[in-house]
This record gives sequence, structure tokens and C-alpha cells, in this order.
Amino acid sequence: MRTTGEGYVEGESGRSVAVYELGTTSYGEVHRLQQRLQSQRREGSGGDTLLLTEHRPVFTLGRSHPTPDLRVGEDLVRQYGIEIVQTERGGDITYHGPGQLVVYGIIDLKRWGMGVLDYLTGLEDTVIGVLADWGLRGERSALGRGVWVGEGKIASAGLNVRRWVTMHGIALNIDPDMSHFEFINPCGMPDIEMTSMAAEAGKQVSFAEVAEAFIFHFARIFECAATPVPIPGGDRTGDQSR
Amino acid sequence: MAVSISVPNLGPEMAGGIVAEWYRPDGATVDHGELICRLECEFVAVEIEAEVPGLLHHRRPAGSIERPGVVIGLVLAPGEALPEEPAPAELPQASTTDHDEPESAAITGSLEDDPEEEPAAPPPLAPGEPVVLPFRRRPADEAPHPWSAVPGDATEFETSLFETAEPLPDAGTAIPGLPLWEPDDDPPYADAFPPAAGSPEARFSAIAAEAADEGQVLTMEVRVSASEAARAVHVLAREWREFTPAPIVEDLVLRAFARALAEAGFEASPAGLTLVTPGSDHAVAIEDAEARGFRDAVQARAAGGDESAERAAWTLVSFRECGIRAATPAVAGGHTMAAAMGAIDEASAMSITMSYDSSRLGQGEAARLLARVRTLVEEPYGLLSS
Repeated sequence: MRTTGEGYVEGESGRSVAVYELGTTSYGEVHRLQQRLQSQRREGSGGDTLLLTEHRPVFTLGRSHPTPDLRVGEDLVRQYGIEIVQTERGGDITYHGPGQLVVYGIIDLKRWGMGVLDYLTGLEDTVIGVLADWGLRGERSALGRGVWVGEGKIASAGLNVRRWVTMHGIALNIDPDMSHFEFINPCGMPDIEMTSMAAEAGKQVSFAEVAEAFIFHFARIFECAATPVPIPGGDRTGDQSR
Repeated sequence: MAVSISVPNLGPEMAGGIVAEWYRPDGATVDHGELICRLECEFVAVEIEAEVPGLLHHRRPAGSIERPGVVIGLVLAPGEALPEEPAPAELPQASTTDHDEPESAAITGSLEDDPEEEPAAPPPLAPGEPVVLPFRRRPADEAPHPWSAVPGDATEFETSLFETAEPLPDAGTAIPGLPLWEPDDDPPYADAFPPAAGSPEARFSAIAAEAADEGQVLTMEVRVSASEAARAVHVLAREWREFTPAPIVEDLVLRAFARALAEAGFEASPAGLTLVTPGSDHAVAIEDAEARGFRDAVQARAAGGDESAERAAWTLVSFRECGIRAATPAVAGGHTMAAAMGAIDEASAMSITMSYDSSRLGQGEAARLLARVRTLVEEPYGLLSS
């Protein structure tokens, strides 16, 4: 087992991030948490934070695309118990659900001395590093932001930035219910094919191990100290055993 | 002084950004820090705030695609004439050497402060010039969807998401229940001070100076919306039910006072809390109520406190369960202040009353402290972090 952040002490780059693994959550509660953390960070309090979670099924919409780009009727989406939520991030519609690692970074990029697109690229590189641990070759694509394995998109990204403090982040499909992607045109692209680590690796992939690998590669890519912080109460609310 | 609003440079990969939305119309009056527009580039939405208060002037419409550094708008001082927009041929090219440094990619810049460098912008895209638009846009004539999560225009949306409660006005002007500003035909200090001629500010200063000398116990009261605090404790109670006693609104109010006191440099710990119920009083003292984990503080309160209530540096008394609307708390000897909270009414509001020793706490400080408490309680999620 690797120790996250090992070798990247805060003094070297001046960057550090507190990592919270939230377990299974509803989108709304983590959305509010992000807003609060971003607000605090903008005001100079709080710290740089990484939130790792998997959401209950939800379609999220980018700020410029308030109309959900659905392939099926809205009623069917409701019948499946999938929420539809407007967000303030860039990009178009995407799906979050169990079996997908979602990582939100609340990072003051001014303090990190980093451009916004460099940060976004770093998130993609982090996912590419994680995929390599499972023998998968992740790549960027001219089709758009995110990470691709072959012809399939495996990770989607989107950010909101205010006063150089980020929120939102990147979502990596580990082993979600891929049929839910069939309801939408992911990222607004009708011909896009989504894939997952389990599908590409042809075997079960542990959510907890992927989360751990993500933290490790995040610390490596951004040269920052990543410190896992236990959630008050000590117990994750969701099933992390996959 | 006109302050420009430029397309921020998000990094070397940035070809351009789209002015996705103006949150405020052309000619609107904007405040410092107010969200005025959003730019988008490659799955990134960048929110632009007004750096100064003034009148907003759009130079580029929503939907236009601009290169980094292009001035898309201005914030003008009241009465200030609109500067003439430089012709494209006169504009210098944007720097390409510092694009990945956030410091160099300042969103706004003063025109007057640095006239030589303004506007550090390339010319707008010429007609017919190819533009790389890195993401797909849905047709603009598509009707807004009823699923838009927050009804109303963009300003309402952002306001609902981000803005905190308005701070209280300056002390002595409009704080409900502030007794010092009630008309008093025969003030007890009439002999010591000449009649308060002139402005209310002069009267305020005179009263404050006298109070500080005399060490009076003064009182002020504020109405606070408790809806968010009630919602927060409800949600937390549900999430914690298997592990932690349920939080109550008093936990948040206590933490708000502790934090406000600590921020103002006053002794905040141990914090005393007395819950007055129809059956009895429960008094506890909590150490580090402003800094420890909220859940930990709730557990400590439910377990009877960290130590004897007599050792508290200050006290919050809650009469909520008894239905008392407001009460004046007694300041214990040696304490700076004491606070009382009343019942939550039908409008989800409650009164918080603070008594304080004027020799330790100035009137302005007290007002700011109470204003800060109100803001924290009305926007309680910031209290949940340690």
C-alpha cells in the first residue's frame, strides 16, 4: 500500500491538500459542501481540499446548457430515480452514479501558481496515471476534455472558477451502471461512447483501490502533500467494498 | 476611475473564451465583489466579479468569442464618462510569456493606474477569421427548460448560490432594538455631557465614550433568520443519528458567538451554554467551541460539557424551548458579554440579545460582533468546519 503524498512534503512546492473520502453521497449535499469550501477559500480561510465520493444516480447540467440533452423521455429518467441538477460548472450534461469515482478539488490556483487549464490537464494526467496502474492506456482526445481509452470516454471533467478558486473536477467510471449513460448525450455529443475501467480491464476493479491510487497520482502530478482527513464519526456512509 | 473587465488567460492552451453570460445588464449599478459575468472555455466556467462598485458597461455581448486579455467591459465610477474604445489597430498584442501565471492573468485592471499597459489586449477577431471553439453550443433559440433548478434570471441564480446575508448597517442607525438610539428626552448622562448637538455620529461617539468610562452594561438585539440553521441541524441529525446526539440550533449559535469573539480577538473559550427548559436549566461549558469539530462540540455539549459552567468566559442562554421571544441576559462578573436567544417564530426568525460590559467592548465592536453572529447563523454551513 502506498502512502499518499509521500515524498512531496509541503515545503518543496508549498502545496498541500486535505483529502476527504465522503463515501456514497447525494449530489446536492456535496454540491453545497463545495460551494461552502470555495466560498471560504475565496475569502482566505479554509484550505485546499480534495473531495472523493460516488454519487447516487444524477444527471448534472453545465451552466450554459440548462436543457438536459436526453435520448429518452424525461418520465423514463424519473422512473429510474435519477435526479437532474443544474450546476455552475462548464461543460454539458453528464452522469454520476454508484461505481464512479468523482473528485472535486477546491484549490486556490493563485497560491499554487498554476493556470486553470494546466490544473485541468493535471486532473486528466492523474486519471491517466490511475488507469496505467490497471494496465489501461488513457489518453486525451481532440474531441474534448476528459480521458479516453481507445474510442471510449472513461473520465469527464468540468470546472467552475471564481477568484482563482476551483470547484467541481473530474469523474472516472470504475464500474457504474453504463446503461444510465444511454439516457443522455454525454457532454452534449450524440455519438460519444462511454466506457469504464471494469469493461476495459475485463475484471472487477476495487473502488477503494482506485480512490487510493487517485490520491497518490494527484500528489505526484501536482507535487503536493495529500493528507487524508478522517470524516467526523469515522465511518463512511457508503459501500466502498467494490 | 474606470476598471476594465478582461478575458482572463487560463493557460497556454487557451485559444479563446466565450462571453457566456452577463449576469447584470449594461448600465447596471454593481457592487464590489458582485458577480457580473461568466466566461467559458473548455469545460471551465470562470465567474467574473466586479472589482469596484460602479456602473457596468458591456463592450462585448454575450455569445461573443474573445481572446485572452480582450477588454469585454468596464466598471465606471458614478458620473464618469465612458472612455473611447481604442481602435483595434492601436491595441498592442497580448503578452504570450506570462499566460500561465494566475498573478499575470488578473481578471480586472485599473485603466488609470496603468495607462501604459491598458488595454493589454489583442485585437478582436476579424470578420472571417477562423475561431477554434473547443466545445459545442446548443442553438441559442432553444427555449429554456423548465428543469432549470433555480427560477429567475442569472443574477438570482448566483445570488442564491453564493451570496451571504447582508451585513448589518452601521451601529446606531437601524439595528432593531438597539436601545441607545431610542429617543430619550431625559438621558441620565445629560449633566455629564452637553446636549448632543449635531450628527447622530457625534451623539453615538459621546455615548460610547461615556459608556466606556463608566463601564455600563449595555444591550443590543438583532433579529436573525433561523431557517438555514434549523435546516442544517435537521440534516445533520439525520446523518449522525447512529453515531452522535442530534445537534440543536443553540449549538450553531454558540459556535457563531465563539467564532465571532475569537475573530475579534476576545476570549472565546470556554463557552458557556445554558438551556432553559420548562423543567429545569442545563448549563455546560465547552472548550474551544469555535475551533474544534462541530460534531465533537455537539457530543461534548450533550455529554454535559467539558467542565463546570462556572468556568465559562461568556455565556449564551437559550429561552427557545420556553417560547420566550427575547430576554436581556445578565453579564456575570468579569465577563465581557452574555447573550440570549429567544423562540423561533412563525417566520423562522429569532431574537438574539447581547449584553456587554462597555468598558471591555466598545459599542461599535459590539455591533460588529452581533452582525457577524447574525451572518454566521444565517449562513451556518461555514460554522460546520473546524
